[in-house]
Amino acid sequence: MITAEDLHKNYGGTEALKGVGFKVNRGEIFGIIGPDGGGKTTLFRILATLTGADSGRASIGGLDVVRDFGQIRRMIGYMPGRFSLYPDLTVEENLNFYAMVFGTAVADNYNLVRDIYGQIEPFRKRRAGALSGGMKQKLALSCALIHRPKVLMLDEPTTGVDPVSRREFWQMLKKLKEQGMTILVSTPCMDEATLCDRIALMQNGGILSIDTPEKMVAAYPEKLYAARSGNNYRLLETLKARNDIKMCYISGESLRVIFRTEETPKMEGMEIRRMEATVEDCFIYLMQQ
Amino acid sequence: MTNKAITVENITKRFGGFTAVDGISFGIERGEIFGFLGANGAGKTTVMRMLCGLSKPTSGSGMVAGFDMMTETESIKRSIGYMSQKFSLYADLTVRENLRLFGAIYGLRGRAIAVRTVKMLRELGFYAERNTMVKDLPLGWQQKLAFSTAIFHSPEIVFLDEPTGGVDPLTRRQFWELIYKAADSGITVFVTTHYMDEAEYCDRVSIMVDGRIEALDTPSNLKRQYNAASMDDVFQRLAQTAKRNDTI
Repeated sequence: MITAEDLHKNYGGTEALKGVGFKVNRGEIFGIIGPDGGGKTTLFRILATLTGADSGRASIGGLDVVRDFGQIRRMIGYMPGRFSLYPDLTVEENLNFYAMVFGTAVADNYNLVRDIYGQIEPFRKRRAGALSGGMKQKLALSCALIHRPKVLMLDEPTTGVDPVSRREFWQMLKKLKEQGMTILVSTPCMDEATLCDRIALMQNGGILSIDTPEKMVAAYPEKLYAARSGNNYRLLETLKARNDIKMCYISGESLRVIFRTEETPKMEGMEIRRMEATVEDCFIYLMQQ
Repeated sequence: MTNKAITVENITKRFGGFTAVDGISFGIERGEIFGFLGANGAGKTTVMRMLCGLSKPTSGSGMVAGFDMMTETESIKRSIGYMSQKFSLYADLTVRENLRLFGAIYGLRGRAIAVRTVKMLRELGFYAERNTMVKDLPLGWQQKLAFSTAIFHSPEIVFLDEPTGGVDPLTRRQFWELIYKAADSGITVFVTTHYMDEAEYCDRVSIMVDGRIEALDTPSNLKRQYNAASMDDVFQRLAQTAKRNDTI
């Protein structure tokens, strides 16, 4: 449904995209996972026909993002990272406006947005600028959906959203996927990766890896251990100074350690156990290659 | 001399008829990394403002860095550091100018500022960038610098308000190493965050729901207590009981 081939984009002397390519299947939730400044937004803007790549090609549903931009704009719903609705219009006015711009009416596609819009409908007379973060996201998603797009592009939809609203948001995406929508979504938050069907890890304008989260984790090439002690900071300093340690970093309540040797060293006060890698561990590993 | 950096007893804050914070009590040890969580509207910001000496409780009592929350707010302000992701440094000043400004605001002398600046920038590996404007630094560097600036005057307690969104996992870990190092040197760290995986880095975590602290323990104990796989699950469990929501 979405293809990107060898996309390059420079801003002044900065290479925002250094040859990015991937394919997104119809009805799939595809996640672009990576930190700010990695090129995610540039990629989204190219796919949403808002800016051109310097070289490379991209298409949505077989239509070229440069040549067929008019048709593409009608078939995608794009939600930019920054809140981009009209703060001085009410909730209801914003939704009506977006419906009208796309030549449709709220009533025609109400069933598609009912689950989401229904939650903010009690506040339909409130100005959009006065909504909380979670409610703004729901309104923005409703506006991106109101013309019944085939492809939804969401650039960091959960940034700054609290954990409860974030979980709700992902549940909504899952429902939309079940209705056949193709969803491209970006996030800097590694623990959201497992909510996608497939993910591309993105860093410094390039893609580190593309796979399902499960396969990516299963392909982690090292034996990873979790180690902890009463003082993890001191333990980290101790382990870093050893030469039988390949990699060592903090991760929540314990440290992650990769040894150069087969057996793990015993240290007083240190608990150690084997553990499966997470997507975040994969990201860290790939960044260092 | 007590070993608590913060003690709060039965603190309530009302705004007109609305009880934002409803009789909370807790204590934080010196050198502890304390995670302060809650959904939007639960009252986190109100508590943080009181602990920073920016507003006074309606009732209750508490000590921050050895000073009374009711009567010694100016002394509290001098004993703490503060960093938020949204605002911490002046983007149009250089690295060195930012340190000089914040050092001077907290009453450090010119010579002390110069000595500390060199030491800190060398430790961070930023010395070569000392004359670079902050806006020209990568986000991860800005965050590390913002944290280092917040502890530049050696405060008793540093408050971190959603400090590390948007950076890559390695940079985030370097940031947490700085936090661990500060805590190891005796600085108490008070962190709010929306990222539950980040909560797992804290020694202890409290979760606020509707103006009260509903849970307070180490991340492992909380996960055990709520039979949850992650802090996110613990949080969701508790947040579901909220009657207030973020529409207020």
